[in-house]
Parts: sequence; structure tokens; C-alpha cells
Amino acid sequence: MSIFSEEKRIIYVRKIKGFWDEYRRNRIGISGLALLAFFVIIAVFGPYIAPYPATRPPIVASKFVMPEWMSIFPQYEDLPRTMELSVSKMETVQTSPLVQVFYGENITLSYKGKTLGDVGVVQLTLNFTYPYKSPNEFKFSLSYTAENISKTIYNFKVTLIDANGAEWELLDRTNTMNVTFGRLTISSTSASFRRKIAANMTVNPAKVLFANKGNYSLSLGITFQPISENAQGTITIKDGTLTIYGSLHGVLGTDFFGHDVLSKILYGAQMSIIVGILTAALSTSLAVVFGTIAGYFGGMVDEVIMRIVDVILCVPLFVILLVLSHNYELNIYIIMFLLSFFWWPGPSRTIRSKILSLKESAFIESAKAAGGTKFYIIRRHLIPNILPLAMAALVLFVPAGILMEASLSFLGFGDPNVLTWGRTLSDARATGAFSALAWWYVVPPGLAITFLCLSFVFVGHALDSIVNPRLRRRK
Amino acid sequence: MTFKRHLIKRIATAFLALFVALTINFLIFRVFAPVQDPTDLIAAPDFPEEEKERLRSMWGLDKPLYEQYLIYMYNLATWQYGVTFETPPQPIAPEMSWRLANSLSILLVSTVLSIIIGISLGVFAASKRGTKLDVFTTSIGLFSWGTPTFFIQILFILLFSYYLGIFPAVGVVEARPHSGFLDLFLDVAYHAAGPIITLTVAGFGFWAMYTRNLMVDVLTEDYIMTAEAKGAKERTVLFSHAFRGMLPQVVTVIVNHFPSILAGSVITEMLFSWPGIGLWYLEALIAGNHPVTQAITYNYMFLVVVGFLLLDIVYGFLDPRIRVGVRR
Repeated sequence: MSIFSEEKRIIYVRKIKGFWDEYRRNRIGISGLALLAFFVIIAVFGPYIAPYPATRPPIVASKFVMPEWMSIFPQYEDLPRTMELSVSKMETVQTSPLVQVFYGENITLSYKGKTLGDVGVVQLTLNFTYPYKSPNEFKFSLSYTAENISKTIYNFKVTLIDANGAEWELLDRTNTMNVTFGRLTISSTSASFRRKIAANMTVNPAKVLFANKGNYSLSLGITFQPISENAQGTITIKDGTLTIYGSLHGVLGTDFFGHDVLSKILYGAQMSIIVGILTAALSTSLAVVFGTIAGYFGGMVDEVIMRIVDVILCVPLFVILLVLSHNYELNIYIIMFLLSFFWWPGPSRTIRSKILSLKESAFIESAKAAGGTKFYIIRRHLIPNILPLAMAALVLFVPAGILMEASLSFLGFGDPNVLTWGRTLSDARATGAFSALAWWYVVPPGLAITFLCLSFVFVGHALDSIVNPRLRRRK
Repeated sequence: MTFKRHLIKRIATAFLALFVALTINFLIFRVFAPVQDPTDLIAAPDFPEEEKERLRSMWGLDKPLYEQYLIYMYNLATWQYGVTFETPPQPIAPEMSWRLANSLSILLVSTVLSIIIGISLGVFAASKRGTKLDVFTTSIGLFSWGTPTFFIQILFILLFSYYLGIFPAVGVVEARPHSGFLDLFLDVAYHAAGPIITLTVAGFGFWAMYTRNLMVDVLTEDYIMTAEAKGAKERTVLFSHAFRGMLPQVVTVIVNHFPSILAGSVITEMLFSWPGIGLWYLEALIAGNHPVTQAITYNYMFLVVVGFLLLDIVYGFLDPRIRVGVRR
């Protein structure tokens, strides 16, 4: 490294330091920067801190349930939380010596009978306390495999004893020996189950079964009924769970499908920010290139570029984007490109007029006289002088890009494969979050867009008051 | 370059822009669209072929492409727009006029309101520059500027229509007989309040910030110092001297803002179910009703182009350098 470049480096460091010293004093600018840092952290680490995956998210609670911290209000205190009760935690209550129960990763039941009267019965029971108000829905599911079944039919029976001691039969299924695997499911929302439990269709079975707080017990009874002598069989029970869906969940509640809203917001950060930054970078670069060319070379080149600018400025961008997106299903990168294509003319005009005035100034004349080539003059003298203009445009275009993408997605014309905050809002509207008064689903993505835009607006405002000497504070 | 030559050049550019964009508008729908012939969408298998032919000829789709293009241009130029791709086809022009009136009424009122509020706030902030009042006003302005319009509208609808039920979120008037013009007007105003309030709240910040920064700039000029020195009142200095000095720039920005104001109407009308051209545009786009979409795009463009032209004329009067023919 030569001494010359070392000197230059020091000058640059001093310039940046001076700039930072001035920026630091601008309160709006600092809050903008802090906000921006917050969003960048979310964008980078969001996928890692999100509690649930983005693709095929699990159902974590009922639809449109409030955030859990709403329980600080007394009227919401006792609302149910999601409870998962696993069959693998069940205890064997009563077993005939004919059936052996093995606990492992799964529960295995092995039956061996000699005579026709050797009925094998097992009852697995789980006692639990239900401490909340009655839930909106619950689900029971269990899958099983049957091996070496011969000469017996077998039967599953799921029963629930509620807090008052009443016994409810939830499910009764008998299989012949030909059935070697299967799945037992109970959903409190299914019509058949509703008919089984409640007298009429307007009653919610979940409310009937879990009417009171107290001790409940869920049991799974398995009966082997031999049809001939020397019957035998082994049944393996896998991932059986009773899920009572809560009416309170997580930091930001759930959406229409019962998925976690917070995860959606965290995943949405990345693309929302990238859209803004890439669009702004591309349109500003185009503006600098074409503005400089038009201004410096003048003549026919200038005339052609400026007429193109005039035409593009007349095109109603938003409605054209709607049409293109509807007809051709644009992906997010094409949307960014189109935005840049329609946006560069604005700042290119101001850059051109700045270049026009710079071209006449003495230092360019002397650079020319000293034998500087056109490219050298543009690179060394013109571009550095229009950087403040470019920076102002850049900072304005970022929120504009974010807003434009959000608006498109909100109307359902965005890229359907990309999760952004605009799309989250659109989903909220489409699934009826408004009439469900689900503010935890509607407000956070909107606030996120707002504060992301604001962070850039704040930074832009601060930069403007530093770079633009006439806006500086009078001392 | 004299003002006259300048103006002629601008008119020519405006027409060129209109022509280019209208041609693209034609190509997008008639040549590159996935569905160009709406009769392909008729699902009924026993729909008679001669009936389809009749529809095609009514829509002019049986003619060669260049002829369709000429008819399209002629329809737009005469503001008749042709007929919709519906069965039976409806003329577009009558619906366009009342929908345009609906849209422009909320857009004009809210734009005028936000400009008035924004400019007065901006002038106020600049005159109190550096004080707490300035920071406060500037922050409000930045908030209004940075918040997406549709988010303000969502919050408004959620709060005032769903939670409190104060303002309606649907339509222009209630479905009841109105006792007179005043009753009708009040009902419309009541329904328009939501869109107008939200558009104004979302819109004034931009004007406030722009005016403040311009004003701060202008207030450092020598002629302002002269006015202050000769003992003019603060009001006089602000409005008669400073504001006049920045008027051309303000007018420029107002007109440059035209396209985005129009574009904003699409989401506003969708959220408030306000039957203007923005909502119609969305419906037509989704239904594949191409003539309507084309007609509305044309109207948007026409308003923008005419706006830019008016700007040039007004600018010429406001900026003496152009009037006397100095090159900008």
C-alpha cells in the first residue's frame, strides 16, 4: 500500500467520523437507525427464533385465538390453553393375564388365548386435571398396527370420565383379523361425533365433555375376542394424543387455521426488507446511469432518454402492475425489476440537471484540459458529486418499494410463493379476521410494515438535514 | 426557447406518452393475455356456436387485429369505450361517468384537505424551527408519511366499523328512500367520511414534510432577511414572501403526486366497498372484462397526462424564467 492511498484512507475515515458525529446528534435519525437495526436482526434471525416452521405449520390452538398474555385481564384468565395428552403416558389399569403390555417407544399389546372363552381385555387410562373454562374443540388421534393376528377380532373403545363422574363413550371400533393397520380419530367438530354426544346440532361437544374444571380420565380399552381356539395377536399403538385446543396462544395468537401468527410475522420480515432494498438499489443505479449519460453527453442521447422518461412517468404504475400480475403471475424478482423500471425516471431528471450544471464548472474544465477521458471524468468527478442526490433517492425508494409490494400482496396480486407482511395482511382479510375482531392478526403485520417504512423515512430525514447544508440548524 | 414552443413540445410528448401506453394497453389485453376471447370461458357445452359468433361480432373480436386496434383507439378517443365483455354486453360510458364521479369526489376532497393541513403544518413547523414544536410536528408528519394508507384504513375499519360501529364500511348510501337532496347528501357524506378521513390522515404528512423542508430552505434567502429587517409581520413574511417563493415547486409536487393519488384509490375503494373506478377496475380485471380495464387505465393515464400539461402551463405563469424564455 502506497503512502498516497494511506493518506486517502485517513481522509475518508475522518470524513465518515465527522458525518457520524453529526448524525449522532439527530434524534430522529438515531431512532430510525435503531428501528432499522431491529428489523434487520429479525430478518436475519427470524427463521431461527420462530417457534414453528414456515411450511406446513402445525395447528397449535383453535382458530383466531387471542395471545396468551391477554390472560392478565380477569375475564380471559381461565380461557383454555392447548393441552396435549399422550397415550404413551397411559397406565395399565386392568389387564387379564392373557394380554401382556410392553411400554417402549410405542405401547405393544401381545395376546395369546387357548380356548374360545379366553377374552383378552386391556384398559389403559390417563388421569389428568383440566383447569380451564370449557374449550372450543378437541381432537383425538391414534394409529395402530396389528401383527400376527389370527383367529381373533379386536376392538378399540375410547371413553372419557368427566369431572362429575359421568362416562362418555367417544369411539367404538371393531376390526376383523384382516385389518393390519389403522387410525382412530375423533374430532369434536365432525357432524357424526356431534350427533353421538349432543342431543342437537347446535351444541358443541367439546363444551359438553369439558364442561367443568376438575379431574378427568381418558381410557383406551382394547378387547381381543377369539373366534376359534389358539388365537393370538400383537397390536402396536403409535403416537396417540388427545389435543384440547386452547383459546389463548403464544405471543400473537393464531390465524384462521390455528397456526401461530408470530412465526408468520418473523418469516415475513426477510422478503419484505429485501424487496425494498433491492428495488431501491436497482432504480437508483438506473437513475444514476441514465441521468449521467443524458446530462453529460447531451444532444440526441439526452433528447431520447428524456422523452423515454416523460413517457414512463405518465404510466399509472400501480394499475399496470395489477394487470401484469393478474395475467402473468409475476414472481417477486420480476415485480422488483418492474418497479425499478418505472421508478428510475424520477431521480434521473434531478441527476441530469445536476450533471448539466457540474459540466460547466471549472474543475471539470480543468480535468478535461489535463487530458482526463470522458469515463475518467464521470467516474472521478461527476459520480461522487451526485452521490448525495442518489442517496436521497435510495432512502426514499426503500419504503416506497416495501409499500408497493405490500399493497400488491394485500390485493392478492403479489407473488403467491413468497411470505411477506403484505401477504399476511391479505390472508387476514381474506379469512375474515376483521369480523372475528382478530386484532392480533391484523395489526402486527401492518405495524411491522409501518415501522419498517418509518425507519427509512427517519434515516432519510436525518441524512437530508445533514447533507443538505441549507437545512442545517442555524447556530 | 419560448414558452409557446415549450408548451407545444410538452403537448406533443403528452400525446406520444398516451399513444405508447394505450398501445401497450391494447397489446397486453388483446395479444398477450392468457384469455383473449371471453367466449372461450363459456363453460356450457351446449352453448350454440352461432350465438358465440354473434357475441364475438358484437365485441368486435371477429375482425382482424389492426381493425380491432383502430376501433379500440376510436372508442377511447370518443370516450364511448365500447361495451363490456358480459352477456348481454353493457355500454361502458354511463357506468364510467357515475363511477368516476364517486371516485373523484373522495379523492378531490381528501387531497385538498391533506394539502391544506399539510402545508399549514409545514409552514408552522418551519417557522418554529429547532423548537420542540418543530420536532413534534415533524414527527407527526413523518408518521403520516411513513404509514401505509391501507393500514390506516384497516385500523379505521377495525376500530370504527367493527368494534364501535360508528362509521359504515360499505357503500355510498343506505338502501332507504331519501327525503330530499339534503338527506341524500348527508347520507353520502356520512359514508364518504371513512375514506376521506383516512386518505387525509395518510396524505397530509408528505405535504407537511415537503413544505417544511422547502420553507426552511427559503427562509434562509436574502430577500426574507430583507423583509424581516424592514419590519414586516411574521405572517406576512411567511405567506406573502416565503410561501410565494416556493409556490412553483409545491405545484410541481402536487401534480407529480397525481398518479399515486389515483393508484391509492384502488385499495381505498376495495376496503370501503366504495363503487368507484378503482373497485370496478379490480372486479373487471378478475372477471376478465377487458374493455372496462382498458377504459379505466385510459382514464387514469388521461388524467395524469392532462395533469402534467396543466402543470406546465401553470408553471409557466408562476416561474418567470420560463415565461420570458430562459432555458431551465
